[in-house]
Amino acid sequence: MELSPLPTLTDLQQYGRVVHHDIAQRLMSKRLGFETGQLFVGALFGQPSSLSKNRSKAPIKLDSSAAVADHLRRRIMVLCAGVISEAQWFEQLPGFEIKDAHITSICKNGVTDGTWLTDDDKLQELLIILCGIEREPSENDDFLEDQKYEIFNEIYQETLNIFNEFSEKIFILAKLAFNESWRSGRLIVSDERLVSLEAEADALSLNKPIDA
Amino acid sequence: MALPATTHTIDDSRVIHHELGHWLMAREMGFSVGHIFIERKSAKASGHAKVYPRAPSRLDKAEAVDDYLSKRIRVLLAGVIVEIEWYKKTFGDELGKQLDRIYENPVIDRSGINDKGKAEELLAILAGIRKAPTAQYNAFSDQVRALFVEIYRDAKLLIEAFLEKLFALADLVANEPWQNDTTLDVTNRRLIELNDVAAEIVASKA
Repeated sequence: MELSPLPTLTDLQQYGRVVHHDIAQRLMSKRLGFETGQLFVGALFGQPSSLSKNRSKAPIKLDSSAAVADHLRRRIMVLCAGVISEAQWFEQLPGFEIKDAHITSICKNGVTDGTWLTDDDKLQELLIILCGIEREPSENDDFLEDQKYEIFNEIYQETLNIFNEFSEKIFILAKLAFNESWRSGRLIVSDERLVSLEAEADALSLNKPIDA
Repeated sequence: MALPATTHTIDDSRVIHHELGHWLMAREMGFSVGHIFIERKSAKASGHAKVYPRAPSRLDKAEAVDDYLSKRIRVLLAGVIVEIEWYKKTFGDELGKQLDRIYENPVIDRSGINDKGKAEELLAILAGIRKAPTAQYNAFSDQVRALFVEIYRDAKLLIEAFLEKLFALADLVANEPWQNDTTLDVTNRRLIELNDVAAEIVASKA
């Protein structure tokens, strides 16, 4: 049976999708020990985009290939969290049934950042390096693609296991962040404000009253 | 700063130069390459040079990763560096000098933005290898920017060595038959033939 295309989204939905994506990457970044910063969503070349800065700073000096590989795996997990969150976001759209095969389409048509790149564009670059560290080199391009796919699947599954711990919180926090003040078509929420919204989201997910 | 307006033919030439920058630098860095593809869409040209970045041997030391990253970033930046040389050739040196300064801060336009984004993703790793970790985000940004400028200038020096040949090659590519009104696709085999012709043209002028 032919795979149905991804639904066409309104601008409002696109902005919601970007916020959801960025919140998921924020929570995964924190979980994996990366620094976090402000949420910044706006339009780039007329398309709703994630304009938050890249904060993939290594916490220690990468003085061996093993240290580089560990760092790359964590960075790839953050990027995978973006892909998983988008699949999760599409899943809640009324009348749309998501299939595993849609993941490829979501990867290729993912949320773009301030340099017009998707998570998948960055994943492809990083997976080549990880293959170079963890696998035997090959002159055959198809073989390299197989190696990349194998490592991607392994990391994607690992990310999924962690992601499920906070997938409910992403929806709540994304909604709270989305409801913050927009100015001139842009949403900027500081890191400090997001920390306080996270506490609110935790309380809401536990159905506990929020402290004043 | 607004860039000079370009007509169809001139814009084709700009993009051919940009893509040949990636293609020739990739060969210099030892990566496999494929075809180049130019497309006219919405009154502007865009393009793609097929490059197969790959580690030449096992990256079993941080230094080997550093070497791969440096090569890959040079390939990514080569498109815009050659494009700036094209602006200098077409509109004068003064504009080109301004563009060099502008590119070392943000980017000149949408054509180079993807390349710069990928380079920044890789520069964050390179900073982790070469520089001491810092708790300050601004200090990290400064590290990434310093590495960017260093590799940009390094790539520019490498390009100077083959720029004349690239200009000759671009003229040859521009004269290749288009598949239709909007598409020019030149195979890797044909590009290699034209590259040899371009080298002969440059040698005959020496």
